[in-house]
Amino acid sequence: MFSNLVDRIGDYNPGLWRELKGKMTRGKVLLAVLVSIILQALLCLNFASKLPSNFYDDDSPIYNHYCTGTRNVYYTSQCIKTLLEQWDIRWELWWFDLFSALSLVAIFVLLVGGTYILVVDLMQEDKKGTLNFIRLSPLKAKDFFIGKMIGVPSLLLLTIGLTIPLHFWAGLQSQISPHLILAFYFLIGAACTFFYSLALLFAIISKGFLMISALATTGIVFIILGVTNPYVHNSYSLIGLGVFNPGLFLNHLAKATLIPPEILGYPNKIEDILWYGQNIWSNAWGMFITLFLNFAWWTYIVQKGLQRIYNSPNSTLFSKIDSYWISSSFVFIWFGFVEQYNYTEGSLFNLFFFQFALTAIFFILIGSLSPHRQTLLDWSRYRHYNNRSLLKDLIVGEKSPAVVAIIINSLLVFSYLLIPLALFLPDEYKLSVFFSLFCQMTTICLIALIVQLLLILPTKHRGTFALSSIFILTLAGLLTRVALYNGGMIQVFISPFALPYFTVIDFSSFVLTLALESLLFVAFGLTMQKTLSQLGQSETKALLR
Amino acid sequence: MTQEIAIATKDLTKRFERHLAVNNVNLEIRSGEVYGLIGPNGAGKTTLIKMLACMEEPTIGEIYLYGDRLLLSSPNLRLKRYLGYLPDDFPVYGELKVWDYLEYFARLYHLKNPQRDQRIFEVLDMVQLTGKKDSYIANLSRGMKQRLSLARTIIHEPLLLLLDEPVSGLDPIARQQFRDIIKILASAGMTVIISSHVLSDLAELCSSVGIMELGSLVESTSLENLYQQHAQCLITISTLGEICPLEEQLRRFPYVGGWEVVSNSKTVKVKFTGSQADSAELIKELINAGIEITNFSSTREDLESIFLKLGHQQAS
Repeated sequence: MFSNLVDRIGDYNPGLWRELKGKMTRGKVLLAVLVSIILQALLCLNFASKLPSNFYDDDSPIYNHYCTGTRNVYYTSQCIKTLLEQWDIRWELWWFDLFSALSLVAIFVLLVGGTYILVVDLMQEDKKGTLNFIRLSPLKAKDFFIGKMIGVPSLLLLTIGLTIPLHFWAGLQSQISPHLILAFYFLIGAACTFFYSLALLFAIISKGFLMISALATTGIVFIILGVTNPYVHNSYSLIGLGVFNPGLFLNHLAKATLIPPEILGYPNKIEDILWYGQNIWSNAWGMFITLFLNFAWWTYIVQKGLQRIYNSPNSTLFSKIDSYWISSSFVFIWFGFVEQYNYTEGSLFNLFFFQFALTAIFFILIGSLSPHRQTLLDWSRYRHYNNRSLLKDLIVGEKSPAVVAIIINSLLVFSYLLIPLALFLPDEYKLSVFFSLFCQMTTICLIALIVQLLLILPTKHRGTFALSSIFILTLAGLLTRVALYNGGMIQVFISPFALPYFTVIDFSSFVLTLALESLLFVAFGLTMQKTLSQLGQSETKALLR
Repeated sequence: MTQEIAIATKDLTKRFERHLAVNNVNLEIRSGEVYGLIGPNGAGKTTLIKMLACMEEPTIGEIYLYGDRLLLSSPNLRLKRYLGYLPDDFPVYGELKVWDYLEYFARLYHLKNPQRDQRIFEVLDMVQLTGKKDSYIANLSRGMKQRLSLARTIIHEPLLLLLDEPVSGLDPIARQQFRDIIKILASAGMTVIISSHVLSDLAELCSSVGIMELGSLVESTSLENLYQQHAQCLITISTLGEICPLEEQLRRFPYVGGWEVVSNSKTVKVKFTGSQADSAELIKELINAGIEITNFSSTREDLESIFLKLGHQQAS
C-alpha cells in the first residue's frame, strides 16, 4: 500500500518520489518510529517524575508545582490529599507543561534540524552537477522545491508527526480547544514552509562552503527562535523578529487553559503587544492571522527568488520591482511594532533593533540586486539592443547596476518613516531625526555604490571584496558610534547605524556630512560611469585604446 | 516537401569577459538531420551546444526550437520536452540503481505506467544495459555510465538530441556501440547535433557539418557538399604494359589535375577533379585506347584531411 502511495506521489511530483524512495526505507522508517516513541516515553517519564511521590512518610508539608494547595514564595503549591488518599493534582497544568515541552521540541527539531539537512542536501546535489539535469527537465521549479521541502526532512517529519496524538491529547487534557491546537499545527506548517524555502534559497546561492553555509543558516534559524522564545525574552525589542516564531502562539494556548497565568509561569504578556497602536494580538485568532499572513508573504517572496535562480542561475536573486515590495513590506510590518505605548521604556531599544534589521535588509537587497562583472559587461556593451530608456533600465532592468534601485528603496523606506516620526515626535527632535534619517539613507546608497564598483573588479574574489567592504564599513560605523557616542560628523558619515532617536545632529554636522557623502558619491559614481563605458566599448575600440 | 527547421539561431553571441566564445552564429538545422560540429578546442562548440540546451544564457541573439523562441528566463516547459542533452561530463546519482535512475528521469518527463516501464526496457535494450538494470550506478564502468547517460537523455523520446563529445574517453568497442545507437536514433527521425574530435565518427554519422573557428561558424553545409568542394579524389591506376601510353591518355583527359608514378611499379596516382561519371568515362577511354588495366581504384580525402587542409586556427 505504501509503495502504491509513493508511486502515485511520483506521478504528481517526481522530485518528492525520489526523496521518499531514498529515505523511506524499512530500516530508516523503523528507526524514526523508535526514536519518536522513545522521545515521547522519556518526556512522559520526566514529567511523571515531577509529580509528588506517594511514599512520603513524615508529616511535614509537601510543595509541588502541580499541587492545588496554597502557593509559597517558590511558586509551588502545598500538596493536599483527596479522600482516596491520593494527591490532589492540577492535571490540566501537568498536561499543559507536557504540551508546551512537546511543542518547543517539535518547533526546534523541525525548523533547526530541517533547515540544516535541506541546506546540506541541496548543496551536495548542486556540487555533483545533477541539479542541472533536473533544471533541464520540464519539472516546474515549484514542484522541485516542494519535493525537497517534504522529501528531504521526511524522516524528521515522520518522527515529529508521530508525537501528534500525544501532543493533541495533552492539549485537550489541558482544556485547550481543538480548533486552537489545529491552528497551532497550521502555524508550525507555515513556519516550516518559510524556513525550508529560506534554507533552499541559501543553499542554492552559496556556491561551495557547504559546512559554513549549513551552520550559518541553522544558526540564523536557531537565533530567531531562541531570542523570540516566549520562555526566554521578556522585552519586546525583537518582536518584529518574533512574527517568525510560531511558538509565540503558545501564549494564547496557555491562556486558553484557564489556568491562572502566575501558576502557568509564562513570563510575559505577549498578547498586549501593539501594532500601529492596535492590540491585534489580544485574541488568538488575531495572532494566528498575523503570523500566518507574515509567513505566507515572506514565503511568497523567497519562493520568487528560488524560482528565478532555478530557471536562470546567473540572474540576480530578486528583480528590482520585487526589491521595492520587499523593503516596503518589511518597514510596514516591523515599524508597526516599534512604538509600544504600554511599555515606553522599551521603545528606544525597539527602534535600535528596528534600525539594525533595516540595515540588514538593505545589505541583503544590495547583495541580491547587484549584478556581477560579466552581466554588467554585457549590459554596457549591448544595452542599445533593447529600446528602453537608461532611466527605466536602471529602475526596472534585470541586468543594470543596482544603485538606482537601492536609492529608490531608500526613498520608499525613509519617506514612509518620516510621516509617523514627523507626526508623533516631540518638536525638538524632529529636525535632527530628519537629518539623521537622511544621512542613514545616503550612507546606504554610498555603500551600494561601493559594492557595485567592487563587483565590477576583474578578479575572481570580487564577491569576497564586496562582502568584506560591507563588514568593514559596518564594523567601523559601530566602533565609531561607540567611541563618539555623543554624535558628530564622523559617526554619521561612516555608520549606516546612525539612529534617529539616539543621534542628535546639528545643522552644521548635517551639511558637512552631506557634503562629504555627496563628494564621495559623485567621485565613485563617475568612476563607475567611466568603468562601464570602457567595458561597453566595442572590441575594435578597445583594441585602439 | 519542405522539411521543418528544428533549430534556428539568429546572431547568437556569447561573451566571457571580452572573449567572444560564440560570435554571431546563424545556424539552421532541418528536422531529422544529424549535424556534426567540428572545430579545434576553444572554438565555441560546447558553449553553442550549452546555449541550445538552455544551460547557458546567450549574451545576445535568439534561439528558436521548432519555431518557438527559447528564453532562459522563462521555464520553457514545453521546449524542454523536445530536448535531450548529453554533456561531455555526465554526473549521475551513484547511489541509485540503473532502473531507479531511469525511472526518476522518466517521471521527470511525465511518463506514466505502463508506457514508462516499457520505455525504460526499450532504452536499456538500446544501450545494451538490460542485464545491469539492478546494478548500482557507482559500480558501472565509464563506458556503461556513458551509455546510461545516453539512455537518460533519450528516455522521453526527445525530438532534438544534443551530444557534446559523447565518445570521449571510450575504447573502440564502446565507441562502435555508441555510433550504432546514434544511427538507430537518427533512423527513428531524431534531429541530432553532435560535437566530436573523432572526425571519422562524424563522417560515418552525419548528414551535415558545421565548422567552428574562434567562436564563429565558418562553414555549415551538407557533408556531400563539403566533399564536393574540398575533398580531392585520388585514382590509382595500374597497367600491365608501359606507363608512357597511359600517361599520354591522362594528359588528354580534362579532369586530370596531375599524376605521379609510383616508383618501381607500373602504377600511377592521379589527382582527379571530376565526378564519379567522369571517372567512369576515364576508365572507358583508357580501355578503348588499348591500355591493359589491372587496377583502377578511386579514393576520396576523408573529413579529417579536409579539416586539416582548411587550416583552422586554435583559439589560443
